[in-house]
Amino acid sequence: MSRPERTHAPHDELSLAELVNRVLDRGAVISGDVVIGVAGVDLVHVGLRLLISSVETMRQRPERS
Amino acid sequence: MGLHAYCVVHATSPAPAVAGIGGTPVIVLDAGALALWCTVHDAPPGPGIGAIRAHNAVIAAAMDIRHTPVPLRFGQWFIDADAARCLILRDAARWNRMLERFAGKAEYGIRVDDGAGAAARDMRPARTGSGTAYMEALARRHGEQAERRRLAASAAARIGAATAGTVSDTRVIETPPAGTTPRAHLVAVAHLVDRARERDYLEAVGAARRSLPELTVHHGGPWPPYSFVE
Repeated sequence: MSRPERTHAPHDELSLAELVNRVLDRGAVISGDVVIGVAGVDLVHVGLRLLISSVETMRQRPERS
Repeated sequence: MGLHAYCVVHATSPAPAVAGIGGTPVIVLDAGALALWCTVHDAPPGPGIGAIRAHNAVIAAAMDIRHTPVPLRFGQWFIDADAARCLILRDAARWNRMLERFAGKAEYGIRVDDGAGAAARDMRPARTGSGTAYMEALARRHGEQAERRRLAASAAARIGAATAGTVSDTRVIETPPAGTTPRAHLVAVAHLVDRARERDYLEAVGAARRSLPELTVHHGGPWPPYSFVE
């Protein structure tokens, strides 16, 4: 079997920007609504959604809408 | 007080050996057969570089023990454990489906650049000068963009041909229009790779790199499968 070509660790070839994009712009989102209640009485209805986005997503948003 | 969430794992996965954002201990929140790794904070952590690195480090810790998690996007905050548990359980089938698909696999990435300055060049025509000059600049811009699209398609095809058979899944990462960002790449793909086949995959990436001598090929991984979540 031939020896594989050396592959660099991620930080060697792909930048911090790549990490930021990956963490802020990809990955799963737990979505849904939660009703906060006390003693069986619903008090506040909270919509859970992603709070932040990458710069690139924000730039693209006006074009998509 | 609330919870910052990192990833979803099987409940049987060992607890992470790293601290979370701000050095806070990671707690394992059981939700049936699933578990959510999270940390407790007074307020939602902001997206600073340190927090982003810490977020990724916790998720990567699961990769280190060969329990590929479902990575969560930064910024998901729960008011308490019950809220988090409720939402995980409500969508348990989705989490289990992803965990099954990711088991034993990792994400790798390839990014291709077409030379220094090309991506960063602002291709928007200047708005000063005569109408003819403007239209000529516009035509040049369209020509450059068409050539760039052709080059990107060719590079993507060569990468696809070289890595075919060694990857479980592929995602093409959306390429921002040239001139809109200083880091616009020609083409970028994410590969989901079976870790038992990493050697074959790395050889294929080497072949892809050699088939694109005129371009700069960056390769990274293994990472948590951020690009492959549903």
